[in-house]
Amino acid sequence: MLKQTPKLVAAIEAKTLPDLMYIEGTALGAVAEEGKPKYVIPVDDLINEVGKDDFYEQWLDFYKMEGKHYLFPIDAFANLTHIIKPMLESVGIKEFPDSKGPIPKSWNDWEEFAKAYKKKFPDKPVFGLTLGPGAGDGSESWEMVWWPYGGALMKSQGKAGITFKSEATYRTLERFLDWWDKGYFPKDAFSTDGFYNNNCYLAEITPMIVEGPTPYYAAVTRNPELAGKTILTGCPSGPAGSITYTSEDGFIIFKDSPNQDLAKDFILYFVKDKDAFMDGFIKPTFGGLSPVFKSIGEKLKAFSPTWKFIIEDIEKCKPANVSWTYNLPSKAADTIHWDFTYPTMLSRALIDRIPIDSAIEEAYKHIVEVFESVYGY
Amino acid sequence: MKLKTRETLTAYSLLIPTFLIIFFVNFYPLFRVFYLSFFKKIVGSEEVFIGFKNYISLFASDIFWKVVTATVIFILSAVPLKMLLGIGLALILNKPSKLRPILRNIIILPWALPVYVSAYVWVWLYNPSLGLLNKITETLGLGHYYWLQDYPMLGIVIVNVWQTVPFVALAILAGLQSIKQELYEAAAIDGAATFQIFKYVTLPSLKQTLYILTALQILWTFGEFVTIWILTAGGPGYATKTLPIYIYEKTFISQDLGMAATLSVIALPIFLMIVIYVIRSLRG
Repeated sequence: MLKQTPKLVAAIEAKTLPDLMYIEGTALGAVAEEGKPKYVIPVDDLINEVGKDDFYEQWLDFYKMEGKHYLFPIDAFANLTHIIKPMLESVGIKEFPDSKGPIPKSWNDWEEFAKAYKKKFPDKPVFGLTLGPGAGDGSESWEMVWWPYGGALMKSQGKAGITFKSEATYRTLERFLDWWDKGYFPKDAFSTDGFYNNNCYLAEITPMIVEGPTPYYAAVTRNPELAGKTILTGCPSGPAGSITYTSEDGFIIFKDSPNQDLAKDFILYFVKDKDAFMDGFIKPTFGGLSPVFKSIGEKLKAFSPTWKFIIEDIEKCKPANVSWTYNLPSKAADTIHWDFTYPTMLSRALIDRIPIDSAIEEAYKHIVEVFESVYGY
Repeated sequence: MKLKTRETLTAYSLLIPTFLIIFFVNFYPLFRVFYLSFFKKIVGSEEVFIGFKNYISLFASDIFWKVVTATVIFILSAVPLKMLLGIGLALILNKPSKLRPILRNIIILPWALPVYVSAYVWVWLYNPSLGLLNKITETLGLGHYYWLQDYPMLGIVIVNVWQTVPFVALAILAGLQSIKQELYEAAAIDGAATFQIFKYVTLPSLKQTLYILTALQILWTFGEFVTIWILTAGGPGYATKTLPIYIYEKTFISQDLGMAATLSVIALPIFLMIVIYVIRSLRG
């Protein structure tokens, strides 16, 4: 995203947009929003030609605006909790309060685990979450705790739609501060390394991380022993349920392209032979990319237990993206996520030790600035 | 038409392409940035004239002043350090020695490396778990540090100094080697001590070089982007969010070209003052 957006921005201003682009769906806000699908054309004809019924609805409709689809979904990903089983079992908890079983399912469960783990291993961190800027993981870490506790950035376009400043925001920041002070996060969690949380898992620094299945993919291909002792579960839930940070990639076709037909042909060619698409594009990622087609999903479920788990988890999850609870492309929400507003707020409270209220107020002012600049009202 | 007039016209016409290139490459972007600073301009939207509103909101913004503070701290920490270390290195390299050619080549390495590469090397050196720096401090019993988290400004200053000191040292070395040997001989005959020779012969002779180098270093340090972006991305918090980082964020993440232009315009007078200073120093 951080590498994609500057190119997109430059192309829009220089009027040199390409014919089509493979983008992360959240970036769609830069070129099309509800009421303002400025640069791209609907791709409903392509979706119908490929077979609308074969798409998982949740992915197909993720970027649907005013009844039209502007993104042709190709692949999706949803965050999963990667748990290193021996580390989890080291504290011997047989039943967590919320999951009622040996595997933590909620942040509440994870807090219980963290208490026990720190008691046994005072010097070891528990949550392998990135808190700093760099990639989008620092923003995701905040969102993945904030959303299940009822927090959200916006409910509609415009300044009046900002829902950031809330009790849930205060409590979530308080929770992060508490976890930080208790040493649940690694002390270098504010790293700008985009792979920080992945490394926490791959180097077995923490018992858990929450991330798309890419670290698991890395373990399968490079460290099968680690993969063998890994449990994948959904994102930890909170009082508002299990809300999963998800995104999907797909093709967009630009309005000014003189080659729209060629672009459409290309997309059709790309997915027409679904078996070849599955074997060549989805399967080699070991879950790093999940299918958007039900037919591929069913085949992959039968292919391996890991695929079965990943797909079933995605089928069950409540997908959320950067504009949750609005959940439509929003340039403002995209900016807030990618300009590291949340990691900045976290570091102001956790490292600079400014009061929680002040850190939230500072972030809020910035959010208002962004909304004013994008929507002007 | 007289021959002289025709020659003059020909000469001017031959200069036109160069003027055009300079105009479009240097002056047009400058005018455009100045012009945009008076507009609300979001990528993909029409420009809306808003007068000085961008300037007003910028000066009223807490973040802007945090950015200015970080930029000033960065420059005031890095530039004097580079100059002092540069002088020291140059003096060492100026001493006749068989190792001098090898030393020169080794010392130039950090400057010769692409900035991108050296910044990533430092990311790993600073890494709290796997980095060499912590291995050294732990071996020496000096403890374990979260360098870029607890000392982010120091972290980027060290890397910036490490990258640019070789250039400063080599430029000063060139200045040192142009000082006439007779001056040193005369000072020695008059019984001047080593420090007196340095203070009354070396430093005054290097004055011009040092002025220009200092000005250039202020300019380059002010414009530093890659190293900071790779090491800290401006964080944690606002600790290392310097003006170029903030301009980049405003341009490519917020896509607020009007505000980014305003920030650039604000930086312009500072740059101009330094450039004027450099030109005047060059004139002697």
